[in-house]
Formats: sequence, C-alpha cells, structure tokens
Amino acid sequence: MRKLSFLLVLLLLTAMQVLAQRTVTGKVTSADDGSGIPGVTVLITGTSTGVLTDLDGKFSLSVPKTATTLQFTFVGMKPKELALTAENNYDVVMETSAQQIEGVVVTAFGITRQSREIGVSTAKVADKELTRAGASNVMNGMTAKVSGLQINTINNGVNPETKITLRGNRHFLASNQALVVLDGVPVSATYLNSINPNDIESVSVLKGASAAALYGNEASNGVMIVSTKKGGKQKPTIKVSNTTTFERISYLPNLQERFGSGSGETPGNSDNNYTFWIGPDRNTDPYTSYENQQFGPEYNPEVMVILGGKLADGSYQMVPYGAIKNQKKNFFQTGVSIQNDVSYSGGDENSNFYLSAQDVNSTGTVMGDKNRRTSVRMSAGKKYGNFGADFSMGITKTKTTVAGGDMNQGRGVYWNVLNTPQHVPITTYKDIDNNPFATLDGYYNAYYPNPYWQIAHSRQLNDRTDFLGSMNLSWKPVEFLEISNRTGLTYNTSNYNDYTDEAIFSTYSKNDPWSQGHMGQQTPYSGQSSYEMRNTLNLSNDFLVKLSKDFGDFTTKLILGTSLYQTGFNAMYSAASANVIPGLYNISNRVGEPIATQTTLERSSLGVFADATFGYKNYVFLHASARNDWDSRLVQENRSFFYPAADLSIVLTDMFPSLKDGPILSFLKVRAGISKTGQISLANWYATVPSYVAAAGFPYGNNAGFRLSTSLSNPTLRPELTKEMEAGLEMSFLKNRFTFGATAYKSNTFDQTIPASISSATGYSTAFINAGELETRGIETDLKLTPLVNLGPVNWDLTINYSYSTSNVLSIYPGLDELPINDGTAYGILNSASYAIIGEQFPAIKVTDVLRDPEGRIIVDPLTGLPKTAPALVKKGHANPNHILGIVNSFSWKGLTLGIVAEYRTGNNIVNRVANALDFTGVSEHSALNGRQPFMIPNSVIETAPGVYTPNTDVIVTDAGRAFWVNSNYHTTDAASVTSAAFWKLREVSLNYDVPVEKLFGNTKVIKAASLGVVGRNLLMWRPRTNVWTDPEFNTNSATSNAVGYTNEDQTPPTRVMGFNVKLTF
Amino acid sequence: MKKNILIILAGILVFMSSCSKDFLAKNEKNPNSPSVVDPKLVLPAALNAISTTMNNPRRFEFVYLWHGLWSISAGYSQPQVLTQYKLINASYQNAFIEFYRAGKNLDVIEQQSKADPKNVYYQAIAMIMKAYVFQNLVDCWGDVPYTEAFQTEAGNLKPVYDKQQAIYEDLVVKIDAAIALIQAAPFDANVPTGGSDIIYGGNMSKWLKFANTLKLRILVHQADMDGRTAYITGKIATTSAIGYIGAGNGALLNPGFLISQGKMNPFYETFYNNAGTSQSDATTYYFAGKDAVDFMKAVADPRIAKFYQTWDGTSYDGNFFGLSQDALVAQAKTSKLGYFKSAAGVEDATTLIGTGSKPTPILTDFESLFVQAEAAQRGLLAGDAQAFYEGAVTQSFLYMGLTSAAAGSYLSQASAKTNYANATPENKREVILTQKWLALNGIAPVEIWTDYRRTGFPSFIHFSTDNAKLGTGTPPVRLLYPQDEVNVNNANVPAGIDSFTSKIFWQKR
Repeated sequence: MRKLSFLLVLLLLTAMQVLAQRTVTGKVTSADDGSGIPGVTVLITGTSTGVLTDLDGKFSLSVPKTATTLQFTFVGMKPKELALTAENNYDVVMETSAQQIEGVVVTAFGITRQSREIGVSTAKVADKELTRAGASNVMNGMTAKVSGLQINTINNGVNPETKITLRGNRHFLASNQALVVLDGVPVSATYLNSINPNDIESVSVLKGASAAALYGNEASNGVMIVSTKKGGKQKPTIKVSNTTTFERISYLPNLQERFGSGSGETPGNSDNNYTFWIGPDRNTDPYTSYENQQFGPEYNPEVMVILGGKLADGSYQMVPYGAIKNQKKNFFQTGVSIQNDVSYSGGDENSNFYLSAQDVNSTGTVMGDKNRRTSVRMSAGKKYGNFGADFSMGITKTKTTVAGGDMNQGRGVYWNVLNTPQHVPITTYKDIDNNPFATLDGYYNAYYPNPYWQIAHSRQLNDRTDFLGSMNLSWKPVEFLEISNRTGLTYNTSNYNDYTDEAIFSTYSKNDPWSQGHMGQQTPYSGQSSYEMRNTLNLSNDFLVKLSKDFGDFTTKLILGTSLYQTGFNAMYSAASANVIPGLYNISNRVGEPIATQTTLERSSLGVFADATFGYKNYVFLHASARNDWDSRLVQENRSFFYPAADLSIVLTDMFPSLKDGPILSFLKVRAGISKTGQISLANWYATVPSYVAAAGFPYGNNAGFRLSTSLSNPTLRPELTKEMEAGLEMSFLKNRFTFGATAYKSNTFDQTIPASISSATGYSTAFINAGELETRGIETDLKLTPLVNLGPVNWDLTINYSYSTSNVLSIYPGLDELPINDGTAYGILNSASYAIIGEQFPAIKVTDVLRDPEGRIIVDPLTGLPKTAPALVKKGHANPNHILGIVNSFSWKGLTLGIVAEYRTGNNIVNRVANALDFTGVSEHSALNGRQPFMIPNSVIETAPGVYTPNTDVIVTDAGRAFWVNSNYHTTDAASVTSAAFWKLREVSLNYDVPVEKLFGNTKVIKAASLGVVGRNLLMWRPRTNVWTDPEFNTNSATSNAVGYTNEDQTPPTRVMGFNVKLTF
Repeated sequence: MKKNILIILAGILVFMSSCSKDFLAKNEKNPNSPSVVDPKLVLPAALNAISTTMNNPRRFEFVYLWHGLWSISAGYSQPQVLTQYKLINASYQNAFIEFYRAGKNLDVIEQQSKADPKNVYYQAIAMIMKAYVFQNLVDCWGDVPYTEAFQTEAGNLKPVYDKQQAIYEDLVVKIDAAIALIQAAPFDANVPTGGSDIIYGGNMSKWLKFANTLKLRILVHQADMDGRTAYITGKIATTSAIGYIGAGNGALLNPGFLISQGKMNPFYETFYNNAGTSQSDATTYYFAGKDAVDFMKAVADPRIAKFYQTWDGTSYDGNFFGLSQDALVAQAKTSKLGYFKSAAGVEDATTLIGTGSKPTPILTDFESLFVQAEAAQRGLLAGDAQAFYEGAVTQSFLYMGLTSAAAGSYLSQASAKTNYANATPENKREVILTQKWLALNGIAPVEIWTDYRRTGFPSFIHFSTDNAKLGTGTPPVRLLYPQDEVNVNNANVPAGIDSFTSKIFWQKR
C-alpha cells in the first residue's frame, strides 16, 4: 500500500517547481516500530510544494521563509502537521490510522478499492490491533472489534476452537461460519487458527452475502479477507519478539462446602466401618467413605474420617472431615504459553521479500495438556516491466495432546474433579504409581477413577500439518488492461490418535473388599486405541481480466473472470477395542478385529463472473456483479445457478460541497446494496445418487453384507438461496476526528437443504429436500473517536461498535413446525436440543422440564412432594445474542500505550448442563442452601382431580439430599439450569512501552526500535446473578454446528490469561 | 496486442469447456458406496438386521421387565417410562424403524429377484422374512403401513396405514405364495450360499418348514378370536403336509460372529465386549426377576442356573420390577443374568448371555413345538399336545445345555406346573404357555408379550408396584407410533391410540 501511493505521488511531484529559501531536513518514523517511512508526502501547508521521504524516511525540503507549517500525509497513517521553528531538523512520528473512513479496502482477489466506492458494509482491522494483547490466534485478536462479527471461543483448552459468524445465522443446518480468504485463496475458518497472527497485515471484513458474487457460493456467510505481510521498498528489517503468557482458572461454578460424602445408596451396609453418621442430624445420608456424591453429613473439621477403604496391607487414610479451601481450583495448574517470533522483510522498487517463523509452546490448565505450533511463512514478488509475479507459502505444524475420557464411563477430567468431595485432598493423588491411595486399587472413590489416572493413561493426540501456497501472475500490456491469474493450493494432513490404557486392578480389589462394588469388581477395562489420518487438498484458480478507463467525469472498472475450485478429502480410520501390550498404542497391538474405514470425497466447481463499477465525478458509484456457478454436487440439470448483486454509493459531501462548509460535518456517504446468492449445503456430496453401505458388523470374516443407506437420495436438490439487502451511511465530523457508520440489513435464506424426516415405513429415515426460510435482520453501528481526547502528549482513541441481530424462522416444510438441529429424542429418551421453530428466533432452545400446570407451577406427587418429568420438551428462549457491544480504548502518553477492549453480549439463553453434573454429585451451591432439611417445593401444586391443581401447602420433600437432587427429575431435567447468557468481558488489557532506542543507545543503527508490554486477556467477566455456572460463550458443539447454547462438564472452566511481550526491530 | 489477448481468452474458454464435463461429473458416482448391489449380498445384511433388532435386549427390555423375567438393579434409577408404564411415542420406536429398514432391503431383494427366475429362492426367502417382520410390527403396533410401504420409487413418502387384521391375513397369503415358489422352483435355481442365507445355508426344505411354522404362529395368535376357528384350520390345512420346525431344526442365525467389537452376538455384546470383558452398564443394570426366580425355585428348574447367577454361590433371588428404590433387594443380594466363564477363560454358551459367537435365535425348535402344542391342545392341529409340550420343554433344556434326562425328571415331577398329565384340563393351556414364557426368556420377547396379552398367562406376574404408575395396573397392550411418524405422516397415523386400551385385534381378553 505504501509502495502504491509512493508511485502515485511521485508522478505528481516530480514535475513541480520548487522555490527554495531555506532547507529543512528531517526523518519520518512510524509510531509502530520506529522505522523510517519511505514515500511520505511532505507539503508546505497551503501550497502544492513538497517532497517525498526517501528509503530511510528522510526528507530534505526547501521552504520559503514565510512558511509556518508542514503537512505530512501517507495512506494508512494519520495526517500530521508540524509547526516550523527556527530549527532546521525535525523528527516526525506518524501513527497508523486504524480505520479511517477515507481509506482503501482490500476486496475480492486482492483488489484494493477506495472505501468511498463501496456500497456495502466493510470493516478493516490492522495488524497492530490484532496482536496488541498477545493473542496466539487471529480470532482472539479480532473479538469485539468489528460490528456484526461474532467470535465464540467454543471451549477452553490448549488449542481453542473458535466459531466465526458475520451478521448472525443464515442456515438451519449448513455452516454459518464466514469464509476466510487468505492472500486470495479460500481456506476453512479453522485454518486461521493455524497461522501466525504476527504475519497478518490486515483483515478486511465483508459482512454481507454480496461478497459471494466474486467469491462463489462458499461466501454467502460473508468473507474475511486476510492479507499477510509482504516486504516492500525498504531497508532490510529483522523483527524479533517474545510473548509469554500465563493462564489460570478464573471462575468455577458456585460450590457448596458444607456437606461431605454420602449417597444413602447402600442402606444394607450402613452398619459397617465405611458408612456412618457424624453428628446428630439424620436428615442427610450417612457418611460413606468411598462415595463420590456429596449428600453426607455436615462437615466438622475436628472429626477425622476414613477415606476410601482398607488397602490390601491393612493401611487406610484418615482425613479431617472439612472442606479444603480452593480444593478444585488447585487441581488445575497454571498454563504457560511461550511464543517466539522472528521475521525478515526487505525489497526494492521491483521486488519484495518476507520471511517469518514462529513457535508457540503452550501447556494447559489440565496437567499434561500441551500444544505446540511451529510455522514458517515466506512471500516474495518481482516485477519485470509490465509483468509481475509473486508467490507466498506457509507451513504450520501443530501438535496437541489433551486428556481423554476415563476408562469406565468415558467421562472428562472436569467431571471426575467435580465428583471429588470437598474434603478429599485431591492434589495429593498426583503420583498414581507410588502413592498407595492414588493407585487404581487404593483410590478412595468406588465409582470413578482418579482424574490423574486418566491424565496419564487416556490421551487424545493430534499432529496436524497445514500448507498453503499461492502464486499470482499479472500482465499489464496497456494502461487500461490487466490480466492476472492466481493459483492457490492448501493441503492439510492430520494424524489423530486416541487411546485409553487397560486398567488392571489387583485381585484384592476385584474381590470387592469394601463390599460396595469397588470399580475393580467390574474389571478388566481392556483399553482401546484408534488412529485416524485425514488429508484435504484444495486447489483454486482464478483468472481475471481487469479493465479500467475514464471518460471525462465517468470512471469505469470492469472485471471479468473465471474461477475453478476443486477439493479432495481422504480419511482412513482404524480402531481396536483392546490392546494387548500396555503402553503401546498401535492398532497392530490388539485382540479382535480392528475397525477400519475409508472415506474419499471429491468435488469441484466452476464460476464465471463479471463485476463492474461505474463512477461519476468520484462521488457516485454504481457497482454490479453477476456470477454463474456450476457445481459437481448437483445433477447436471440443476448444476448451473446464477446470482447477481448491485450496490450504490454516493458521497453527499462531495456531491453537495455546501454540506461540508460548516465546521462540523466533513464527510457523508450513503449506500445501499442488494444481492442474491446461491449456496450448496450438502453435508453428503453424493446425496443425489442412491447408495448401499456395508451393514453393521459386516464383513464377518468372508461374509459380506450391504444395506441401503437410510437417507433417500434426491436428484432434484438445488442450491439454497440467500437474498440480502442493506443500506447504510458513513459520516465523519470535525475533520474526521469523529466518524460514525450505520448499516441496516435483512437477509432471507430459503430453499434450505434440510434432512426432512420421512415416514420410516418407506424404509428410509430422511430425505434431503429444499425447504424452509430463515430471515435475519440487524443493525450495525460503529462510532470512532480518534482522538476522543488529545491533550498534548495524552491521547485517547475510542471505538464503540454495536450490533443487533435477530434470526427468525419463517417456514420449514409443509406440515412441520419444528426441525431439530441435533437429535432430541435419541433412543426414546428426551434430550434438550436446538430447534428451528416457525415464528421463533433461531436457534431455539428446547429443554426437558418437570411437569407443570397451565400456570407454570410445578406439579408434585401428593405423597413424596417430588416433581415428575414433563412428557415433552419446553421452549426456553434462543441461543443467538441479539445485542453485541464492543468497546476498544487506546490511551497513549509519550511512549506508553494502554489498550482496553471490552465486550457485552445479551439477549440469549444458555443451558448450563454442567448444573446437572453438579447436582448429581451434590456439590452445587444451591443443593446445600436449605441445609438439606426437609422442604416444600416453592410454588408447587397437587393434581387433586384430572386437570385440577391445588396449591401445595403441606406435602414436603422429606429427603432433601440425593432423593431430591438426583432422583427427583429436578436433576435430570434441564429447565432449572437455563439462564441468561449475557456477559460483560474485559477481553484485552495491554500496556506497551516503546523504548526510545536512539536516546538510550544513540544512533547505533543496530536496534531500530524496541517495545515492552504487559498483556491480559479475559481478565474479568460479569454475568447475571443467576448464572453461577460457567462462561456462557462456551458451547458443547463444534464450530460448524448450529446446535449452540449448551455447556457441560466436558469443558474446562474459564481462564484468565496474563503475560508480557518484548519486541525488537533491527 | 488486443488480438493476442482475444486469442488467449478464446483458448482458455475452449479448454475449460472441454474439460468441464468430466470436471463437474465427479459426484455422479459415489467412490465410497455402490449404487446397485446383488441380492445375495443384501440378504445376509437384512437377515442380520432383523436378528439384531430381536436380540438386542434394549429393544424389547420392557417385555422382560414387565413380565417377571428381569428387573433393574437397586443401583440404578428406575426409568419411569417403564415403572409407571408411561410410554411416549418415542419409546421403543427404534424397533419400528429397524423393522421397516430391514423390510425395505428385503423388498428390494424381492423386486430384483423377480426379474430373474433363477433367483426364485431369494425372492421366496425375502417374502417369508417380510412376513416375519410384519407379524412383529402388527403385534407391537397394530395398524401399520403395509400396502404402501417401501414405495419411494413411486414417490410415496407418506404411506397409508393398513388394517392390522387385513395385514395378518395377507401375510398368510404371502407365505403360501412363497411356499409355492419354492416348491415350483426350476431345477437350476440359484441356491443361496451359507454366506448369504445365514439362517439355513440354502436348505430350502428347512425354509419350507420355517414358512409353515411362521404361518402357524400367525394363525394361533388369532385363536381366541370369535368365529375364527374355521379360518385358522382351513389355512393350516393347505400346507399341513409340509410339517413344522422340529427338534434340532430351529432357525438360528449366524453371519459368522467374531469375538471382536461390533461383530459379536448382539445379545452378548450388550453385556460384554471382548470375551468376558465388561462393556456396558448392562451387566450391573439388568438383574433377575422375582416371578421367574420364584417359579423356577418352586419346581426345582435346573435352567435357573443358566438364566441367572447365584449372588452368594448358592442362592438365587430377584426383584419385582417397579418396586420403589427403598423396597428393592440390594444389588449385592440379587441374581445377575446368566453368564459363566471358567477359570481357564472359557465361557458357557448355554447361559442366557452365552458367548459372543453363539447364533441368535430367529424361531427356535422349542417355540415351534410350543406353538404346535397349543394348536393341538386347542384342537386346531392334529397331534398329541402333551408330546409337543414335552418335546418343547426337552428342546429348551437341550438349548440351555441340559440333558433330556433332566428334562424328563423335571416333566415327570408331581407338580402340575410342569407335569402336563397332572394338570387339570382347564389348566393344560396355562402349563404350555407358562413353560413357553420361561423357555423364551431372552429369546423371543414379542412372543412372550403377545402370549400374555392374548391368554393372560403366566397368571402370577407381579406388575409394577410403583405408586405413581398409571392406567389399569397391568402393562400397556401396545406400543405407540414413533414420534417421527406422528410428525411427518400425521394424516395417515391412526388417531386416538391409547397404550392401555387400543388392543391388537387378536387380543380378546
């Protein structure tokens, strides 16, 4: 960008006649890194006399004595004015202007367009904003910075997965994730997590579906265009940096610390050494030494109790019967992430070169969880007359290991920690081999293993390599014509290995010495291992002809192009249910037949498009595009589909210059756009042809057997269609100091591809059909105050973005009012699930509930006082946050910069399924609030006659422990654990200090710039009082699933990240 | 210059249009799955699917739990669907879905085989097994889609529901047709191989007897209907010459079960993974039912050691299903379902859980003999009811790994509960059906349920004592239609169905 403007301005200025009376010299440096900026326009204010800075950022200019100020301007930087004094040498520091209204935007195929030309909403985030708080992945750096963009970290962990949506949901079942285009090559959104955030120059966000006109049908959810850094006309620069962060568990659910082990499950054994009451209260269950559930007697730390049972050698463990402070929090360790970067960039007028390497080494809050990401990126380009060639490539290797499920129930680590009563010194059980009370045999818990066992013996490993390469050739034979071709290739391969060791118990524990069903009794757990290898190869080729010509006041730009896309996927999966030799995780080491499957998928598409922009007097722009796609996933008759788009932009302040005359308004643009996009959303790429699959169990040795697929093939499938409209305005005041933008949009996606359940009497369960419509409406506003406050050295920039969105289901298919997004009734058991429901916001949450009367009061049993389960799921709001507010602050004072980013979301609900786990184990705070004393369910009724409900005034729940919290349906239903998902989060706090290198080290030229910083992420979270559970941003599903709105005990608790960074530029 | 550009552009367009045909044809053939498959490769999968549905204990657990054979251990919460008889539409809907899936595959075999006279045996087997599937569907759900089922090629995604009695009558017609096809088969007809016919290995004379026994089962189900006797005896007569499944010729299915996850006998694999290795909670979830244990203890039935395990080395005890948690006998003092593994690691195939490689029962010889005994006792079939009955019990003993001598002394003890001769005339049918109930434990759940519904035997079952239970104090008489059927085929699904009062047409009590 700098290079481009340099050339343009050079043309203007070389012809200028300059009259000199004194010579002023100086150097213009970047506030970012202290490096000199070449090509800055230095003008004597009020004249057209000026000069450009040289490669080092230096300038020398003859000025008349009368001149009082100099103006410094450069694309992408804030303009600067310098008052001239008697001094002849000046040092000028220019700051990047993060999001300037009159900037340029990188649009499709890397084409930069003047922001004023664009009739749809776009946004741009520059490198500095992305990496300010030391985020190790790009998405964390984008969070809360752009209106209409919602980024969810769907789980914590060493390699967190993120979900990216622009303008809410458009599809019931197909992915709503935005398309990511990296240096012109479409990549999956997850790919972004594999690249080095420091390599990124900027991210342009095209929020609407209109982007699809140029990017094809994958872009109907909006596009994020990521441009990586290139070298340029500059001196060779080396940057070295280190970011080290520490991660601690920040919030655990509210837990009770009042009652210890007990479940009353074994009344027949209550007279033995392991089951007894402590104190006089017989309302709770007796203390049971080997119990995970916490419905026992009240704690009394002065009493010593036996924990677990006697070991084979007769020893046993005695502990004080009192809650251990921070017992569960201390199970989790401090995760450390060390990120080292080095980059080199350079170039001259006709070439550029950039090389970088990064290594991120992280450990998680769960012992043993690790992630290591190493990446290398290189790009270079060269010009030969009117030919240009450039390429870029990146390789990333990511290696992750996390703890898997336990051996008996496949439960996660967190579950087993929650099932540890508060008086159990869990952190003393790390040494599972030598501590007799930590071994499989000796661990106190009769039902669940020591979580340290699964950390050591159950692991999920993923070794993934991502490669991306792209090559661009361009030829500009004449001024108005440019022909270019870009080829991109991404290849990723992942090796996923999952194993659980065999659990070997001693004969002593197999014989059930504590007579309560020791885990060892159900042995042996034979262990398992599986191995999956996946690779994906995507190839894309875009051929473009760009024409541009001006005719008087009219400008025209025309792009004609073709786009080819091809993807191939292969996976091999094998698994063995029992390993023979312990510690060897190889499918060959097994008994029984292995499971082995192979999947091969291919698809391709071809697009032809035209994109035209007509401008009049540089203030009216009409842009229109049309594209036709042919996609191999549909049958020949339906393969071709066409979609057009158009938008209009008018800069009113230029059209009517009088508007600008006042002192306030400096810029006003209005815009509107409309588009139609087709998208193919077939999870099965072969859904149009019938298929037989190997039947369950087959082949049995030499006997093969095939059955029809349970999904009926449908050759009539068509693309989903999205129609989107938007209108907006952009304005700035006080010489661009305050800018404001607002957009309103509406998108309707119809002919959705949905798996219609069909009568199973057809022999099939589902048929994919085109039906249903989802409408999403919203408003996006951005307010930028740059600066809000500027008092000499003190500067405060403030950006506020706010988005409102709502998605409503208009139709599904005839005769059906609801479509489950995930299965709500598997095996005849009702499960809470996400739904598309006509007339409701999408995705709607439906949960299991206790039986209620028409007024919503809980119906209880007249004898036991306990509630019953409702026969159907009940609606409990929706999972899409309607309101998202992002606030970005930047304070600077001399070399110090303080950045603060906060975000607020509200309007949606979350089902805290972790509450079920906590109630089951009896550790939830609310389960102890009434002291486990008999109580009456508030606002409950009794059905005295069919349909007649009388308020319950005397039927009490006599057992307020396990009988209520575990067995009464209150625990098994979800309605009580639905809360508002609203939150305020302090996303980023960073304090950076730019070391005044020249002052400290003199002009040694070795170190050009240096900075030190401290960073913090997710330092604070505020939730509604009712949400005592966990971070509502988490989600139990993958990034591509739309069944959001659930948290559970398989996630780790939210964390807080703090650290520091050091950056040096040579 | 412009000319050159145009030539290049034209060249690119020609190149693209020439390669685009193959380029875009990639998804017309699925590289992972075939689109057409020979009937001989579909038949074993369809047969095995039926077996898996019938033999997965979770599909029909309600029968065993409600009829005194099994209980749920005190260590688990009792599902209210069962303890309170609160069936919902989704309850046990998987059997419905799986039966129709298997039926569709059989239908495809039948249609494909019709085109080739040499495949007449495949056609006949498909027709017989479709009748088997629909008999079970009718017995559980009454009116079901029949004439319009499987018509996706004709575009019918919402089949109408046919009257249950009409379906039952047509099944007899279809079985007769299948029998006729086998009897008139050309000499060079393709005989299914052992890998394809995983029940009888292509032995078509056994298939004739199987078809005839299935027909008898269907007819005897209707025995208590008013004015039905002439129909039943008439239908029996047309094929009586073929005879029925006799001792040692029961329909047992084995696709080649392997001791390997996902490839084992489905009943066994519900409990154990690799030989003797616990896989699921089922081993500590399903325990002995008190009615069965008490009955067997009273008549010193040696099969008790095969159906159940002792809990202390000598004693057998069960729970009544549906007792409140407090009233249940502790898990440690209740018998688990039968399973035995020697110190050397050898499992006993004749226990209820058996082994992973044991064939699954489709229609056992002892069930055939019990059906013949009942038919004879009712005067529908010529022959000696007592001989059929004693043959049935003897075959059950043999199936459970006991001797015919043991069966002999069991049958000749004084108790009229086992000794047919000592039973009063009005109790003889009860003796047959009570012994049938016991013999079919873990083997033929739908028949146990059907027999109870139509005859009321065994007469001593204790039904749920859960005070919150609904209805009439006995379990439901039918299952409800699957939730998806109600959702997507609503116009055709019969309305006003009640799980306690909407009886199957043959139930007259």
